[in-house]
Amino acid sequence: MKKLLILSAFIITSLILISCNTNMTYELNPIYVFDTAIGIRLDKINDDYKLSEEEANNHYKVISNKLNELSRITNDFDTNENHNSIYDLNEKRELEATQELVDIIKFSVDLIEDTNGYFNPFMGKLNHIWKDAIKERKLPNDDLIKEELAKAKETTVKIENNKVSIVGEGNIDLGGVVKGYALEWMRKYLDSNKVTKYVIDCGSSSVYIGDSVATVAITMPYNSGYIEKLSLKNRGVATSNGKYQNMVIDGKRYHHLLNPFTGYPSDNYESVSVIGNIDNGLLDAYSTAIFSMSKEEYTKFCTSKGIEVIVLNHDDTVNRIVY
Amino acid sequence: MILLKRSNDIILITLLLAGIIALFVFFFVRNNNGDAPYVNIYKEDKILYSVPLEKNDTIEVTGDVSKMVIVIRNGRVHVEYSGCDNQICVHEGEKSEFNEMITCLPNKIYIRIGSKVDVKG
Repeated sequence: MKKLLILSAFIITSLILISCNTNMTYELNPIYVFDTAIGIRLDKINDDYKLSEEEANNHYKVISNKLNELSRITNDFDTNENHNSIYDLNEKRELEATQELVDIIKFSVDLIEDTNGYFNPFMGKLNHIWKDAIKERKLPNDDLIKEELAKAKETTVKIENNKVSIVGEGNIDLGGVVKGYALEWMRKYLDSNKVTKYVIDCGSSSVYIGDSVATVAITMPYNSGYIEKLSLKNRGVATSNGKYQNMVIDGKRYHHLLNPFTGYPSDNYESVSVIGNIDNGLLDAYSTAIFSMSKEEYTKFCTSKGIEVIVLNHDDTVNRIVY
Repeated sequence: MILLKRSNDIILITLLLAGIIALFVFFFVRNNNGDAPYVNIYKEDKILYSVPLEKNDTIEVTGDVSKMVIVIRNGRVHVEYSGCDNQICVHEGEKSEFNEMITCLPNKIYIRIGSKVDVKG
């Protein structure tokens, strides 16, 4: 009996000490790309695989290099050392692009049909006009919006091998899809390296939770507090709202999420979050697209795609489509 | 003899209950990994501070454009002051959940609630 007591005390004390002192994860350093900071947390124990610190650091280097490469080629504000960015494509109207850039452009163009036109990667000029307007706190000219919208609607691309040509006068902007695209790359990369339990957040607008439960907090865009806290596993969450780029003029809020049919900021909702176990690039684009859809439209859309959505309305009520 | 045996049983049961409670805390009350939440503050990719979220503290850091004052109080963290133009970091408000973060891009300061990080140097 005495031995049993001592053994029990030893086991329980060990458990308490272990629970207090052992970190079960590696917190990787932030990576600053896409106008945000990417945070990555990897679990040490992944099913049958134990991740070492050295391996975690190596994964960090690979991921960091990849994200920086993606950032350089998808930048529509500036060129890069190889002059092969979206900025270069928009300036010269044709480009011998890297395979990666060709893939992202094709991915984005396919989304036009996929979202019934609610996602349009040719809104580059209008996006810049509104970003400048928000910075200067001054509404852009209505005629200019109309003119640029017409150009965006008539624009497409021609791709022959790696030669990309813009047909029309609109500009390409991949901002609505690149974070999700990068997140999907990271997910595949980690999974292929037997790291299945992790949390990756791309500035909270695109988050992916791997094979262990974690909390994703969806915050109110313009006030303190939360819309919802989700406990998720093997799920991505993409959120669109005007939180980081907006202005209020005469009591009306204008932000950077444009309705591709009107050229003006979408005014339907305060915030849209989509949740699913599908390609994270799609989730990212879908959250942008849904922002311009009516309730009836997004209900049908989400059901057809098998994704969940949480929508914050202007009156602070919340609509949910969850499974 | 019977009394002694009963008191041993009570001790054993108490120890077992304590162990169960410890495991409960490990798996459910902390984050899902069992790690205690820390406020990790980085300047670019260098960790500056890793402090327990449960410990009230005020931390001043120097970013690329200004100083920032970060306050941890009652299990929440927020940016009290930043000299950056856009004030996005200040308007983020209070964060309290694992994985939540506040970024000040002009200052290259990144604050994230996560597991403890070793601060070297």
